[in-house]
Amino acid sequence: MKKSLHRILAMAACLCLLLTACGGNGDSNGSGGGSDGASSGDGTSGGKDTMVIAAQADMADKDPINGSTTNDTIKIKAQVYETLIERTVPDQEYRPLLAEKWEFNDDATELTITLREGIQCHNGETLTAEDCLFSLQCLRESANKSVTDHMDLEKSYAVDERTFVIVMDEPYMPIIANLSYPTCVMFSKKGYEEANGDWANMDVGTGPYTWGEWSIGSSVKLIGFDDYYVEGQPAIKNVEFKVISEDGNRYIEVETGGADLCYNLSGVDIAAAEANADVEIFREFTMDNCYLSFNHRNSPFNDVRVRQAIAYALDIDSAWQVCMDGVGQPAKGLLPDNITDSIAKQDSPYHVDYPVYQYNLEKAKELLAEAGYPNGFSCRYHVGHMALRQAYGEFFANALSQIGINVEIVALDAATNAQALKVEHNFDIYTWGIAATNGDIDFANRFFYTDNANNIFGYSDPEMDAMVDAAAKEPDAAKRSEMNAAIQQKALDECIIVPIYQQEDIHCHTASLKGFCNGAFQSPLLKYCYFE
Amino acid sequence: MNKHSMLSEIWRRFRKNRQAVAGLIVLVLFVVVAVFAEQLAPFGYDDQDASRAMIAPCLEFPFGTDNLGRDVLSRLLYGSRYSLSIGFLAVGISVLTGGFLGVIAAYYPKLDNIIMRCMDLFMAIPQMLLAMCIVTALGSSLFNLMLAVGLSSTPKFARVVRASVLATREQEFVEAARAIGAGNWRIILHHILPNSISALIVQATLAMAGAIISASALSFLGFGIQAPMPEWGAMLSAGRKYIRTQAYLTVIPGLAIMVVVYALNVVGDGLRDCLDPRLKK
Repeated sequence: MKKSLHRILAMAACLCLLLTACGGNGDSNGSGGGSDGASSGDGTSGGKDTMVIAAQADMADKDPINGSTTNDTIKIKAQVYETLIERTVPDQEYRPLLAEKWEFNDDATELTITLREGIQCHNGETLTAEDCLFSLQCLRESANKSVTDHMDLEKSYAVDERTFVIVMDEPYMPIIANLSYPTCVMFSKKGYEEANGDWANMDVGTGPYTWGEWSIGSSVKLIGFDDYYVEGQPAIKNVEFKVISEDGNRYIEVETGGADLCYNLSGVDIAAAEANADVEIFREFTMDNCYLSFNHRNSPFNDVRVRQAIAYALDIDSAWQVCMDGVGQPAKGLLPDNITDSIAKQDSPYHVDYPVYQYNLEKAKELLAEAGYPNGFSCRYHVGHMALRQAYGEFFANALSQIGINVEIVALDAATNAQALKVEHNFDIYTWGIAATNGDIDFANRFFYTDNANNIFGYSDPEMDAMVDAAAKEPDAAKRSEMNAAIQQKALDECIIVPIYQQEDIHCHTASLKGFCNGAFQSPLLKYCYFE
Repeated sequence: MNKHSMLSEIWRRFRKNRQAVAGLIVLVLFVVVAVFAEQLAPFGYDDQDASRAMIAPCLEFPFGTDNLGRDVLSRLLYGSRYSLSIGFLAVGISVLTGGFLGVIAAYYPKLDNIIMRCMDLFMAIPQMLLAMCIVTALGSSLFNLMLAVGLSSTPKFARVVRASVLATREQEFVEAARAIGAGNWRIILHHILPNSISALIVQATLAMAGAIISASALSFLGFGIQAPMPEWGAMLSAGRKYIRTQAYLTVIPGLAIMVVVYALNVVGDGLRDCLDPRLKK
């Protein structure tokens, strides 16, 4: 009796503790969220000047050129640092941002860029042509130096305060895409030198927001930049990124008013968000395809028949249905159809229907027998750390067992997995993403280029290399599309990779938040957001 | 003869504790299920069928189906093999390593300080963190998971065994054995261990519950068994994104873990009560 009384008392104490904790949280949310309830209650939302964003992961660092390029990090850095050119999604147009205009010379070996007037950096300096050339030089020496590919920075020069010329070693059309890539940012040379290049302690960008407080692992605050060169932007004065890694909880934050915007809504919450009149969903297909590929370096995967047999054995439509909870779509082609020159586009003159290797177990078995494996074989499948790809792995392992291929699933953490795939080449089958990350198809073409960092599968064909090089140099758009189509066709014919699904950006926000849109690299352009 | 009566005496005392007996029955049931999983399960643990995905518990699928259309009941039954074998083997590993170190430390005073201070060092690292480090270093597989869970609780066993061996080695029968010229190992194995084993048994039963929880937690975090093997913690983890819509995917493996762990705990408590020499009449 006494014992049970103690238990009840202890439980009551725990409950009290829990309740007070929740209560405290609720309060701080209310004030942190910019008196959310109060302002929307009386209909005048002009008072609300803070946007709280529930983000999946914390920013990795503040360094825009050398630092991390994970999606979550870029989404934050892109608000503080800006590129010369802005790429709009989904229409894939290049628009002036820091650069007012840009122009190639006749043989496409020089690019003249004119800056906008009166661009202020966060340290109070005006952004000049000299600053831009210095920024490019820093990028050249950084881990992300590929954005300066084919630029001859020794010979590049400033014409005046606002004009400079980038000299190139050969015609290279993807340079525009590179200049719009989120790591290709411009900043104040003076500010950089004063801080000795210590990115953690400087704020020398030109973006609509400046750095605020960063509590590592829990939140990042940004403060609107008063001297931003576009009048009226950013409309929302403060932005706070709250790190909430659990998918369901992120959505609940929006539902309960703890956040105005939730990044990466999970598929299972879509129905709930759609049913909620106070929540709006933002959906946009990304330019990534997730693919399954093989270790081309070793047998049996250096045999095209084995690769095709596996492709025939994978039912990518059913797999999408059971694994993705309605997010994204089954792959539509080698590359997503929203990339310029992708032959997955319905209206492309070179359009090819996908899947090329339509699900057919009989055909798969035949091909396997032809290749000399009538009884199949055993192999390992590196699925990585993402739950979604692990689900695909389970589904595909089961499918491959039906043609006699015995699959052992290997789920490693991100770093170990990357080490096994990219450095040790110690794998048989794996899944990864292919994308035109900078917006230009050349980036995706290079996946098939000998020894390219993204060529994890180890494919190597001098003919393919020549095709990729030639397409990048071609200034004529029509000819370039034809060359790009030939590259994609070759990749499909040889079944170098098997695209499985196209990823989708799904965010949701409260109905009162307007103007939400995506920029390059799936980083939302928060400067356009406002409350109604 | 003497041994036999001691065992029956223990059993007589254990039987009086109703909770412990219930726990024991539950445990035996789970062991039976684990052994005969193949015969009991209506489906295989990896029988996928997209057309029957996400069916809520009904007559055909008493525990429903998951996102890949696999029968949750079958997976749960097969999963009992992993959870129980992890529990037994992990504890087996810690009993062996911890027991060995504990006996050595207690019996050879010169080594005592070295061994026990090393154990203290390990104790300072949270058990879960230590287990995670071990799995990360060795790679995730069933055996490594057991090893990690087992090794990370070694220090506890070393302490318990050392304490009880220290008490036993001062007993007169040990002195007598030494007097007639028995070797150190003979004394340890034949005289000291049998007389200090009750503490070890109690500790092992209780640790088994902890081991199952640790293994489930590690699997939940992705350090455990590789898919598509149905470990309970991994099932819990796979189902957690559906917790708002298909709660049964998390509730059922969660309940299974809870029941087994509770049963182990009450059996452990019961054993302690009837093995504790101070409670002898």
